[in-house]
Amino acid sequence: MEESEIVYVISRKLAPYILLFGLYLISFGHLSPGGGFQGGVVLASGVILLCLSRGTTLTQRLFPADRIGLVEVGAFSLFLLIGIAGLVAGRYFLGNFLPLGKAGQVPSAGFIFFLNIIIGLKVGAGIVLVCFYLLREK
Amino acid sequence: MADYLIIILFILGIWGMIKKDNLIKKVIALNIFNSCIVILFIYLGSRTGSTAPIMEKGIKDVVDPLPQALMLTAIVIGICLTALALSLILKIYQHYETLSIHRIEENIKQKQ
Amino acid sequence: MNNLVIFLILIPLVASSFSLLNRYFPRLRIAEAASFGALILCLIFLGLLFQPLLKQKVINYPVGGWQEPLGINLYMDGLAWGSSLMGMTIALLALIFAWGEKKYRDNFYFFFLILIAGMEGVILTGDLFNMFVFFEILSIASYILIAYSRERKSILASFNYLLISSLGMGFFLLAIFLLYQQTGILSLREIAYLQLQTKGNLPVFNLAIISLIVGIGVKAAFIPLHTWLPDAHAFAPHPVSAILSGVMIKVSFLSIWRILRLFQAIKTQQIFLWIGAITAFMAVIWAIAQDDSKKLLAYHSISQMGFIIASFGVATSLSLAASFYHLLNHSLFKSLLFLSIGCVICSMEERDIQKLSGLGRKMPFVFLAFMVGALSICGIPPFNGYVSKNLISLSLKEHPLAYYLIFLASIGTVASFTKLSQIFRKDRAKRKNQGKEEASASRLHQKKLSRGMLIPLGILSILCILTGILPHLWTAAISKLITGEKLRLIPVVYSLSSLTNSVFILGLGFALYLGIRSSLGQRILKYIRGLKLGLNNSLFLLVGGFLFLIFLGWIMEKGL
Repeated sequence: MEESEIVYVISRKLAPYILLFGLYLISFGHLSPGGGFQGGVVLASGVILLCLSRGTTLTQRLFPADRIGLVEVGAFSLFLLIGIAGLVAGRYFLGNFLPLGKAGQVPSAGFIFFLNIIIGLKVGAGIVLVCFYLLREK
Repeated sequence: MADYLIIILFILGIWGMIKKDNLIKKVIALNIFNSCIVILFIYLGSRTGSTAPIMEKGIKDVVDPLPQALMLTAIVIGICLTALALSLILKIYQHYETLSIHRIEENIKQKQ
Repeated sequence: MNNLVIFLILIPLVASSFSLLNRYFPRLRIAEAASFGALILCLIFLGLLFQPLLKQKVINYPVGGWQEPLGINLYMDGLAWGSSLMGMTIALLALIFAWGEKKYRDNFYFFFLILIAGMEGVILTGDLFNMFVFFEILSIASYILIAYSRERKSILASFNYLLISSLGMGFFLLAIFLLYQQTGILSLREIAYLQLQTKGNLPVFNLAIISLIVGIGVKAAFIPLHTWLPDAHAFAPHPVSAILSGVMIKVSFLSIWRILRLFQAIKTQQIFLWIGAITAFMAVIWAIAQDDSKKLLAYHSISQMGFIIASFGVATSLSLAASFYHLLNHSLFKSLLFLSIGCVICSMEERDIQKLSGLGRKMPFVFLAFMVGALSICGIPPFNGYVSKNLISLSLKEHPLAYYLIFLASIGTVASFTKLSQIFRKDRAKRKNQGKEEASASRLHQKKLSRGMLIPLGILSILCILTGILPHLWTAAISKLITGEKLRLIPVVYSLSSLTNSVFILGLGFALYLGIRSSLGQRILKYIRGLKLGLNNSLFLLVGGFLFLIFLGWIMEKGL
C-alpha cells in the first residue's frame, strides 16, 4: 500500500477534529440525534483514519492496543456497576438515581449522560481493536 | 414507491445469500438483508408524523421514535455479526486457500 | 425477595467481567473461580425463589422501574423456573468438565458465562424485542465457542451456523415489524391480550406467528431448519457440545412453546405434531449412517427434539407434561453421552467408530456412565428415558400415523446406540480378519483422565436414575409447574403393556443392527452418508420451509 504525502499529512491534521466530533455526539446524545453508539463509532473512525494512512504499527505508538483493551474491560464493568448502584439505591436494576435537571440542558435526564459516555468509550474501543486485528500487516 | 424498494431489497438479500459462490458476497448480501429490515421499520415509523422527535417548544407532529431506537440495536448487532463473519472468513481462507464455497465443499468431499 | 429474578441474568454478566480481569492476575485463577461461584450463587437464588413462586404463580420484575407497556418486564413462571434449573445445572457440570480438561483460556469462561446470561434472558423476558436481543447474544457467544478450537471443520461449521441463524433472525425481525404495525406495543402478554380481545386482521397475524416460528425454529432445529446442527455440535469442544445440545435448543423451543400458549394458537400447535414425527424419523435414518461418534449424537439430538415437538403438538395437558418431562430427561442424558464420548476422544484422540474397540476394559467408569446414558435414551426401565418415552407414546395414541413414525424412530435409536457401543466391546469378528491392524490400534496412546472430567459423569448418571424412579411424583410435579393444575389422570407407566412394548422395541432394534452389519446394509449406509447438503442448499431449504409453512397456514385458514 503506497502512501501518498497528501493522505499522510491531511489525516494527521484531520483526526483530532473527528475525535472531537465523536465526543460531541456522545455527550449531546440525550438532546439531539446521536448517543452512545453513534459517537463511539465516530471516535473509532478517527483512529481508523490514522490506521489506514500509515499502518497499524505506527498508530499503536499513539493508541496502544493493550490500553484500549483496558478501556473496553473497564467500561463494561463500570456499566454493570452503575446498574447495580441503581439496584442498591432502592429502585430497580438500571433505575435512575441521579436528579433530573431542566430539560434541554446537558446535565439533565439523570444518569443517561454517564451511560452514553461509557457506551461510547466501549464501542469505540471495541471497533478500534477489531480493525487493529483485521488490518494488521504481516 | 418505498414499498417496492423494500420488497426488491428483501428478495435481493435472500437471493444473494443463497446463490452467490464467494463467501464475502454472502456476507454483503446478509448486510443488504439487514439494511432492508432497518428501512422497513423506519419507514413504518415515519408514517405517523413529519418532523424529527426532538421535543423543543412548539413541535407537535413528530415521527415515532421507538422504531428508531430498536433499529439502533439491530444495526449494532448487524455490525457485530459482520465483524465476526469476516474474521471467520479470514481463517477459512488461511486453511482452505480459496473463498469459493463450491471448492471448499469439493475439498471436504475428497478428503473423506 | 422478588428482586432475585434480575440476579439470574446479572450474576453471570458480572462474573464474565471478572473473568476478563484474569490476564492481570494470572495466578489467582479468577476466571474459573468467578464462573463456578456465579453458577452456584444462581442455583441458590433459584432455590430461594421457589416458595414465592408457589404463592404468586407468576413473579413480575420491571427493569428500571418502568411498568408495562412502556418498559421491559421479566416474568418468572413455572416453565421459566424449571428450564432455568435445568440450564444452570447442566452449565455447572459442563464447566466442571472444562476445568478438568485444562486446556481452555480465560476467554472461554467469558463467552460461556455470556452464553448462560443470554439463555437466562431468553427464558425470563416478556418483551419481544428484548427476546431478539438476548437471542442474538446467545447466538454470538455460541458462534465463537463452536469455533474455539480453530480447526478447519470447526470454523466452517461456525460460519454455516452464522449465515443460517442470521437469516432466521431476519425473519424474527419481520415478525416484530408485523406485530408492532398492528398493535403499537412490543410486550408479548399485552399483544396476546389485545389479539384475543379484538381478533383483528387474522392473515397478517398468522404470517407474524409463522415468521416467529421460523426465526426461533432455526435454533430449535426441526426439519427443514436443522441443517447446521450436525456439523456445529460435532466439531465444537466437548463441554460446548454438551451445553448446546442439552440446553440451547431446548430454550429456543421453550420460547416457541410460550408464544404459542400465550396466543392460544391451537391450529399452529397441531402442525407441530407432524413436524415432530417427521423430524424424529428422518434424523434417526441419518444418525445410523454416521461413523463419527459425535455426529451420531448430534443427529440424535435432532431426533429426540422431534419426540418433544410431536408431544407438544398434541395439545392435551398429559402430552404437555410428557413433553417437558422428556425435555428435562433429554438434557440430562444427552449431556452425559456427549461428556462421556468427550472423555473417550480426549484420551484416545480418535473419533471414528470403526477404528476404536475394546475400550470397556480400559475405561470402566466412562463405560458405565455411557451405558446409563445409552439405556436412558433407548427407553429401558428403570432409567428416565423409559418413563418419558412411554408417556409420549401414550399421549400419541389418537394419531396412529405419528405413533408409528415415533415407534420406528425408537427402533432406530436402539440400533444406532448398539452401533455406538461397539467402541466399548471387544470386536471378535474384526480381530479374526485384521489381526495385526487390531493389535496396532490397541496400542493407541491412552492419556489419563483427570478427576474433573469424571465427576460430572457420575453426577449426571445419578440424576438420570433419580428422575426415573417414582414417575408418578415427577409427572404430577411437572404438570403442576407448567400449567398450574394437577393432572387428573396419570397413567401407570410400569404396566405390562408398556413393558412388553419396550422389549419389542429392543428386539427389533437389535435385529436392525444385525441387518446393518451385512454388506447390503453397509452399502445403503454409505449412500446415506454421501448425501450432504451444502451451504447454498441449506439456506434454500430454510426459505423453502418458510414459504411452505405460509402455504400450510393459508390452507388451514381457508378450512381445507
